[in-house]
Amino acid sequence: MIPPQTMTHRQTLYHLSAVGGTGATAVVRAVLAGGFSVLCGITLLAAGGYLASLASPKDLPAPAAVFDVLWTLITDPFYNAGPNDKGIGLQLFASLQRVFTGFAIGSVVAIPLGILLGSNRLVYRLVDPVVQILRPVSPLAWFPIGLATFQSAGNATIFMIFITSLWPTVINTAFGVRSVPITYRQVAQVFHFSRWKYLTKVLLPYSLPHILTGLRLSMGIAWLVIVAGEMLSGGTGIGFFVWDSWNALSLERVMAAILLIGVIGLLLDRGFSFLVNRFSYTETE
Amino acid sequence: MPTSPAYLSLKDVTITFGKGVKAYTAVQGVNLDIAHGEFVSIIGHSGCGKSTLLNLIAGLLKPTAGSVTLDGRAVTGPGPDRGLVFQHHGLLPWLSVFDNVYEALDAVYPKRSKDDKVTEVERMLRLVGLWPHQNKRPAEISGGMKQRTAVARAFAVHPQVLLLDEPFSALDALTKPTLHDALVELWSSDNQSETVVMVTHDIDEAIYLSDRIVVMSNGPRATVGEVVDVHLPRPRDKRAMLHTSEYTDLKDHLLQLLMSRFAHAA
Repeated sequence: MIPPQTMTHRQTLYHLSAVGGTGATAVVRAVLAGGFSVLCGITLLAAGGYLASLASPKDLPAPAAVFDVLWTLITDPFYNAGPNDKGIGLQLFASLQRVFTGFAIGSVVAIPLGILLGSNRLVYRLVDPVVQILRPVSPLAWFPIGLATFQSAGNATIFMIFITSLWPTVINTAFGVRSVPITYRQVAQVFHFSRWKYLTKVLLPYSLPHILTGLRLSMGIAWLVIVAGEMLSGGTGIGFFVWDSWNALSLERVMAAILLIGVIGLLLDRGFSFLVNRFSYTETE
Repeated sequence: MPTSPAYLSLKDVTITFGKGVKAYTAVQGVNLDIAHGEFVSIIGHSGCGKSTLLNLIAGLLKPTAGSVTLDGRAVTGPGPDRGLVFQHHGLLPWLSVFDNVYEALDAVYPKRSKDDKVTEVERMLRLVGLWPHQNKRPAEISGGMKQRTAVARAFAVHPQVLLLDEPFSALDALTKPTLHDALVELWSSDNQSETVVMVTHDIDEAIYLSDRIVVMSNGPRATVGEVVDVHLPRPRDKRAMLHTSEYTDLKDHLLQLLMSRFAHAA
């Protein structure tokens, strides 16, 4: 049966953020908290930059220099002056394109696989050990396999993102499907729900917050991995940009790229967080 | 002591959970015949296997021995001919009140036209007074409204037998009577042709609603202790009924059964 307390998915799942309260007070609180954390971040960054400049004044850039470079980068993001000199917007766009392609293919495989794993005990027992062995493998290890298979660094990077995107989605989807409460299954039995109706009206709506949480985690890791992947693959992308800037001995550009990577990662995560909340429901006694 | 031939029939039903030393026999040797259109309550202490019996009729449980037949056919699994109102409503939290009823109706009658089904859902929700709340999700309505939705859902598919598993036990004393009236309203709207089996531990509720009350002995190995007939004429008036000798005698008798003959061991 349903546990006696009222619970929402926001509380049950390992979410990275929690916003309490309701209505206007929550908004005020969120704005205050957001403002405070931005302030903290800037202070930390400035302090860190200052300390670093004390330690080795010649190697690390001062914050002001970083913001100068960042400003130049973001005010002219889409210029294209040959294969080794493109605007930051184009680089980010190339990275995002790879991430979304790999992530989309990965999700298309992972969600049905997760549903299968979650609904069939035998399949779960057979496939889960494989998932558990492959999951801890750094996605970068798959890069050579991708290269050998596709003979193209770009496609190998997408392949790597594909592998990355699989595990959290498979595991969370399977968990969601496995945990459909017996009451809901009995409701479907008593009213003779067809397989299709059970899938669309019980199983998927129940599992959706879990699936979206899996997708959110997958996207987070994919965005982490793309930088390393593009450092290996070269060509275009924000990872290549970071490595190219290091080779050009411009740590200002590296620092500026780090800030941009962080902001875009945050925006991606917020997007999924919004979706999770949008499709959550409240279970009641 | 059914006057008409048995419609729903339990014969020598025994249910044992688990195997070996851990085996637990919840109910043993239950025989019960229920006539068409009869309203029967099953009453008894906690753990006497009331809900087990109901789940058995619903087909969610299979008897270890014995059989259940409905209208001459053996019950082998759950089905829409036996509508079940769950103890905790069992509404799907991601669907609106309307959709909760509609999806059940649609599942049972996939071939009926959509307009037809929408009209039927509206009729049901109006009968239980929930039409103004049709677009709300279960989390947005009160416990009594949720249980009314669950009752409307069960009635909407026009089951041959309606099974109620302590449907009002989670409701407060002021909400309960309105739910009783909603139930009688729905039952009467079908000319009281539905056969109803209700599990309860509320004596007043059992007397007010039932034609017969089955008193269970205590578990383990619970069985039918005594069957009490309720001869109060319908429609019943809850307040007027309280002062009749028939009512007080019945209540006295049931209390005596539950408190001394089948007194709880614990």
